[in-house]
Amino acid sequence: MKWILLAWQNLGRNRRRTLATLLLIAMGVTGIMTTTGFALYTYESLQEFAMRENGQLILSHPDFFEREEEFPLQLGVADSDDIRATLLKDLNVSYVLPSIEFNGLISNGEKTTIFMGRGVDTDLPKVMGPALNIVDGRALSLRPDPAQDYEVILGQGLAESMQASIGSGLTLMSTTSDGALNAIDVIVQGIVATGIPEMDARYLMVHNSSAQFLLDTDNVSQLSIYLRNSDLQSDYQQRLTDEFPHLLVTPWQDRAFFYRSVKNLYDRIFGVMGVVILIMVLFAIFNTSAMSVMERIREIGTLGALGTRRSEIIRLFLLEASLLGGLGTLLGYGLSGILTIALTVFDVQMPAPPGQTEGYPLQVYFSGEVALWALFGVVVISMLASALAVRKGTQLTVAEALRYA
Amino acid sequence: MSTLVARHVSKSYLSGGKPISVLTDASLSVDEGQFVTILGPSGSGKSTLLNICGLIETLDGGELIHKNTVLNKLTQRQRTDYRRQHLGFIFQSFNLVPVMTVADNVAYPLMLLDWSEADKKQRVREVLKQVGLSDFADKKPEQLSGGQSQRVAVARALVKRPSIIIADEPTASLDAETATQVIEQMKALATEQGTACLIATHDPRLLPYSDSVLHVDHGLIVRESVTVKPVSENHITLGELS
Repeated sequence: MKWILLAWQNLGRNRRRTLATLLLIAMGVTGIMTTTGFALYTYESLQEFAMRENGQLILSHPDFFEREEEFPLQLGVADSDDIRATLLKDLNVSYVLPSIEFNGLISNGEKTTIFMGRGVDTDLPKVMGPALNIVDGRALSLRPDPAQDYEVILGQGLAESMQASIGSGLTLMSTTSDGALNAIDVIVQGIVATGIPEMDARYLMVHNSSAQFLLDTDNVSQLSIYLRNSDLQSDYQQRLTDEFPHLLVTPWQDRAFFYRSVKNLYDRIFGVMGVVILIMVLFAIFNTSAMSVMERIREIGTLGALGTRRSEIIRLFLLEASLLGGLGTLLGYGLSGILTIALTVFDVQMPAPPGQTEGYPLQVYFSGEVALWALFGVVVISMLASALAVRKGTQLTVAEALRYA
Repeated sequence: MSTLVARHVSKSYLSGGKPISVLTDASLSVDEGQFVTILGPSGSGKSTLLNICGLIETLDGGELIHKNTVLNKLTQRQRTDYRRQHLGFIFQSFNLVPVMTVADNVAYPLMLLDWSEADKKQRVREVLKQVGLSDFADKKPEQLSGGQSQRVAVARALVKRPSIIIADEPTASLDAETATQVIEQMKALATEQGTACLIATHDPRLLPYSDSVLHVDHGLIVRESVTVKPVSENHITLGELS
């Protein structure tokens, strides 16, 4: 404690230099906290989007993701209703949503183009929430009327291409699972924006029942399982694997390609930035410690003459550096906290990423774990820098240090 | 009984690759409570002799003994610990730690010896009272005059009741009146504690207070004399021993 007090007093020797170093460390920590906070926000948003779309676990035919189907739903899941009923008995499972991936041709009578279709459950809008961005019209009916035409939601680009608006009649054509050609008439119920122009130009959604009728099958492509608590994911993955050995259980992470590529990219970018910031902190502390040592060589000699061991003098400088690093980090927490709150209060929008049409809000998360790592990193770097600086100053003998002008 | 004995001590430094002898065959003996002055011109080797006796420089030849401990055989760490335990230092330019208060500066040697907080406070209060600086305990060195600063340094040197005080030109930065006050105080406290004082100086004002004076010139102790107490304030006589 007495050494910490002395180290604290020593920080007040050259207040301007101490303040400048503190601010530099604080800015560095703010940089680390805000960039990692932004990355964490992005990861969580993408993670949530991916989980809302496909659930935490996906149940499918073992080869569904491995090879191309020779005919529609060749690698689909049969008896999906039974599986769903079984899974929903478990209170930890909130939704089990079957879906069908298919493609074919869409026509307005004058123009025909290809589409990428998705058969969805009526509960999908509930789980997707704001991730399902319906820009016009509404979601598919919860209870489709068999007497009416099938409903369809078109991607924005596809709607423009088909010159379709809400209520327009279109025709979907596809090959059935027997290889025959089939078609259904559909009414445009809504227009959706996925944020990816290439996707919007081809994308459409229909009820699972509509897709099954078109493809003449009872199979579905996959079952998305939504758990009430994501922490149960790995336990459930094992449980489902045991319970349905003929099916493949895939965690959402394995199918969230965009999330993974963004995470890999950001991890590298922000990792390099973090290293650069820590190197800056290292040089700042080294400079401060080196100047402090040079100014105090005679004092080091005096302390040595009074019986202070070299290790105690080094420890004193290391404590000073640690305090400087620790205080700078705390100041950095404060600055990044203010920035986090400011970004919550003022809606700052990021521009749309390459290949997408929608921007997103700039938000920064405050992570306790990152804060602790930043504190640890800065304090260790500070001590390392100080150790390098102080080594030379304490190599002089007491007599040499006392003679130092 | 002698507190500190130096026998045939020699020391040389390398200058331009050549050894320059700064101390040759120096011997001295300091008794408990004795006030010994090393007198000599600049560059005579008096500070080197003092530093060797204060264990902040090593000797090349000879022997240094303190109460049956052969000091010249100690490792660097042992020398540091010996200084911590047994020696007090007073420097020409006071060398107080500027960020510490007067009380903290005085308490520093006790902090190194792990004294309890209560004992430390009591002892510091006592010593500051003895040097007449009780009211300055919470001041910073920058708020003190030269004389006050050197009295703090004296208090710091004496606070742990060391066997020997090593003082290098303790009056060089002080005016005549202040120097006299500081030396009188130092002498009185050292005598009271039974602490020996070894002082390097070229200030003749210290001589009346000295029990023994070593005259050093060109690295040699040219003679040792004892002082005869002055019959009047202005008259000093040196009785030559050898």
